[in-house]
This record gives sequence, structure tokens and C-alpha cells, in this order.
Amino acid sequence: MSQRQENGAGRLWKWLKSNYITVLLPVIGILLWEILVRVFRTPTYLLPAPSVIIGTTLEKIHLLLFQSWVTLYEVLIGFLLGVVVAVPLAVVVVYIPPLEKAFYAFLVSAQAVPKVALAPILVAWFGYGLLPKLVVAFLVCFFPIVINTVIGLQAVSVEMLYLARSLGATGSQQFWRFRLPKALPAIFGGFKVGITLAVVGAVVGEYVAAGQGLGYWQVVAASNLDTPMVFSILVLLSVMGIILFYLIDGLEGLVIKGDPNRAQRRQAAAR
Amino acid sequence: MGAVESKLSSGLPVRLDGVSKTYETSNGPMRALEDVSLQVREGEFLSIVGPSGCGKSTLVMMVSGLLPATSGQIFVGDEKVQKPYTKLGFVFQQDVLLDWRTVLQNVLLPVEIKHLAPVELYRQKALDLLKMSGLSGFEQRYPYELSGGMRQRVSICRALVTSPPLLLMDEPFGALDALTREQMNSDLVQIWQQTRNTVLFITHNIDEAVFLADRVLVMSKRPGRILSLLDLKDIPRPRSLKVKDTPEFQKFVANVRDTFVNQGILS
Ligand SMILES: Nc1ncnc2c1ncn2[C@@H]1O[C@H](COP(=O)(O)OP(=O)(O)OP(=O)(O)O)[C@@H](O)[C@H]1O
Ligand SMILES: [Mg+2]
Repeated sequence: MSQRQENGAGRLWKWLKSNYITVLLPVIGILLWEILVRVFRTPTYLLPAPSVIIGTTLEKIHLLLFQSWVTLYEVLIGFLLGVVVAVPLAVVVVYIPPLEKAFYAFLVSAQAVPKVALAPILVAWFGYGLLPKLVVAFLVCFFPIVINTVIGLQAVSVEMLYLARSLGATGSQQFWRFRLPKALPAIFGGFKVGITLAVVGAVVGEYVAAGQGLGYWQVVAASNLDTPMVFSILVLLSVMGIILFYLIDGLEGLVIKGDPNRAQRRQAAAR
Repeated sequence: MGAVESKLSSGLPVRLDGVSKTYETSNGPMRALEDVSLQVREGEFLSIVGPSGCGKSTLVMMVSGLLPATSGQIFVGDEKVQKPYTKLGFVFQQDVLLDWRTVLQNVLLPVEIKHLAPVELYRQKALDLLKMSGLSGFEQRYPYELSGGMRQRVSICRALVTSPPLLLMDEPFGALDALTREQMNSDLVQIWQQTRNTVLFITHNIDEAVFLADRVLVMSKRPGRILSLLDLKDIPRPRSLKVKDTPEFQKFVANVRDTFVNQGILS
């Protein structure tokens, strides 16, 4: 048991040794921030010192955690909706070529629409409940997932399809054993972009219409000139985005085996 | 002799009757292959050589049923090829390995797709093939951990694991260095002497073509026609790399080269 802990500590030490710049830079940045704010006596409502932000966070931790949960819930449901709609749609688009052209035309125009600007309209339609936030989160994460899935499913080479057909693979075998596994790295790439965007979407939804959630509380705090709280929420949202990103990254590692690009990244990171 | 041969062989004969191929391109029709008629005996190893773009790949693609012939007919055994023919092993120019499967899983892919049983037997066969190809210890590795030569050997094992009566190989060693290539030639001869399936083997390398084959099919520039069909029964089997030093071997290599020189393909 202690052997294991030592191993863990050893690994951490090794990681720190090879990644010290990654760790050191933000630490220096935060320290500098703290010092400068104190030296110049910057008013707190303009720019609170990191220590003040941390203090506020700890003080209001119960409220913040509960509001984080509200936002997280919207993010996750919006994202899952995005996945559930986007992936099958991408499959349909890839398998029905006439749809592909129409789809791309639609996609280009849809991409040009700033999805977050739809939020006020969605409020008019769906009221002030959970729904408009879900819809914004869904809309912003939907497109990267659909695009990446289409690209991934088309990535299978002609030779690989020849191989499949000369083995007598049925249509469903071609999909499950060739196309889909080949597409997974791209699909997960879409998930990673999508989950971070879903956070943005949910928060914007809360800005526009909500009685709770981190976005709502940020608006409230801002109107009270409670800048430390605004920053505290900003930090929490970032942490949420980072954690969600790495959760998907970890899931990708579990699901996808033998991906040459991923192996390359891992080797580069270990160096 | 003939009787013994056919007993040894587990291959199927291949017959091409006046096969031609015209590709429809944006610049209009393009004749790739011109009236090829040919009989490959069961269990025969046929090498196909010819200049780049003369239609060699087109030819084996049509035999595999992956590409339809524009005219003419192709038979494997008694069966007319009209759709992808699945009782064959195909080694493509690029090793088409599946990144997400281990070496062993890649070799067993045909068994899985075709629901062949008993799996344990095929698993053993796959392990044997991998061992014979010098890939012991790599069974659980992923393709990105292998060199180009190793990857190509895996794809050959995959083509062989179901003991197909017909094996199509489209420049399988094209991307390999000279040394690995010689080794692979020698290994392939060893394996084939045991399996005795019918093989159509495309190569640019005259040495390789002669070393491996019972007969060498020499093709013209595009549109591909048969220039000559050399019988190599004077080079005895079983063969080892040493056979390349014999006068018979040299004679046949010179013969193929002369054919190309006469056609202005080589100078
Ligand atoms: N799908 C295609 N559409 C149009 N033309 C094609 C197609 N595939 C091959 N060709 C043409 O047909 C001719 C024969 O091609 P093929 O691939 O069979 O040649 P090859 O003998 O295998 O050449 P190499 O030795 O370089 O592989 C070439 O001139 C090529 O341009
Ligand atoms: Mg070719």
C-alpha cells in the first residue's frame, strides 16, 4: 500500500519535473497579479486580488456548488442531446449522398448564425425554465459534433472498403467494424469541442433567462458590483469546462485503442 | 505427376475469356486492359509484370469481383465472377490494417466477418502464421507499433488465415527495402509450398516475379495486353534464395527483360 503511494508520489514528482513550466507559469502569473493589485491599490470592484477571489469562493462555497450543479446539469443534458441527435444525423448524411449536398448548404448557413443570439428568441418560445438553456447548449455543441462525425465516417479509405467487400462484409458489418471505429477519433474530437461550447451555451442561456445557475448569479453579482463573485464564477466555469474536457479525453482513451495520433501525443508528452 | 500435383493443391483454377476494361473518365473513355485471355491452373503461382499503369491492378481487381469487366468473362473454379468473390485472400499494395485492432485481431478479421468456426482453431492458425512470419511476440501490439515490412506481413497472414483457394497480391512488397523484400520472398515461397493455393502476384520486380512463380505473365504498355507467358518449370522447387544464382534463373530474368526492351518499355 505504502509502496503504491510512493509510486504515486514518484510519478507526480517525475511529472512535475518534466512539466514544471506548465505549473510554474500560472503560479507566477497569479502571484504577479496579487502583488500588482496590492501595490497599485486597484479597487476591488475593478479587479479583485486572487486572494479575495479565493476568499469569496470559500465563503459562498455552498451556493456556488449548488449553482454549479444547476449549470452542469444543463450542460450535460444539452450535450447528450447534441450527441444523440448529431451522430445519427451524420450517419444518415453519409449514407444518403443526395442529402450530403443539402446538408452542407444548410450547415454553412447555420454556422453563420450566432447561436447564442438565438437565446432571446428561445426564451420567447420556451419561457424561463430549463428548456431554453438546454436548447442553446444543444445548438452550440451540435454543429461541431455533426461535422466531425461526418468527416470521420468519410475517412475510411477506398482500399479498406475493398477489403471489407472482398471479405463479404455486410452493410452493417461495414459500418460497425470499419467505418465507425475509423471515425471514432474524429467523433471524440467533436465531443471535446462540443462539451466546452455546451458550457458557453448554457451560461448564455442563463444570462438571458434564469432564476438560478452560475450564469444567472454572475449577472446578479455584476449588477451589485460584486466583482470578486463574478471572477469566482468565471473560475468555476473554467474549471468545469476543463474537467468535462478531460473526462471525455479519458473516455476516449478507454474506448479507442491503437490510435497512432494519440500514441504520438502520449509519447511527446512523456518526453 | 499431374495427379500428384492436383492432390497437393488446394487451389482453384482461374479463367479469363477476352477480358477488357474501359474506364469512363472526365476526359472520355480510357482503355486500361485489352482482350486478356488466360488460364491459371489450380495451385499455380502466377507472377504478373508490366510497366506502371498497364492495368495489372485493374486485372486482379476484376478477378476479385470488386471491379466489373467491361467485356469478357472471368471464372474462378466453376463460378462466374459477377460480384465480390469472397473465397479469396487479397493483399493490397498498401497494407490495409485496422488501427484499432491488435495484430492478432487484424489477422482474425476474416474469421470474424465470415463467422467461421471453431474460432480456437483459427486462432491457433493465426498464431502459427504470425510465428512463421517472424511476428511472434507482436500478437497483442497495435499496427502503429510496427514497421512497414511487419505491417505488410500481418496483412499477408490475414489473407492466408482462412486458407483461401485463391490469393491475390498486388505489389505486396513494393514499399519494402531490398533486404526485407528478399526475406519476404523466401518466406512467401515457404508458405506457399505448404498451402499450394492459386496465387496471382503483381510485381514490378523481375527477379521477384521469376523467383516466386510457376509462370510469369508479361504485359504491354497501356492498354495492357499479354506480351508473353513464361513457363518456369525448369527452375526446380522447392526453391531457396540460392536459386537466383543458377543459369536457368538468370536466363528467365534476361528473357523477361528482353521482352520489355523489344517493346521499347526498357532501353
Ligand atoms: N478508377 C479509375 N478511373 C479511371 N482510370 C483508372 C482508374 N483506375 C485506374 N485507371 C487507369 O487505368 C490504367 C491502369 O491502372 P492500374 O492501376 O490497373 O495500373 P497498374 O498496372 O496497376 O499500375 P501500377 O503498376 O503503377 O500500380 C492507368 O492508366 C490508370 O490511370
Ligand atoms: Mg497497381
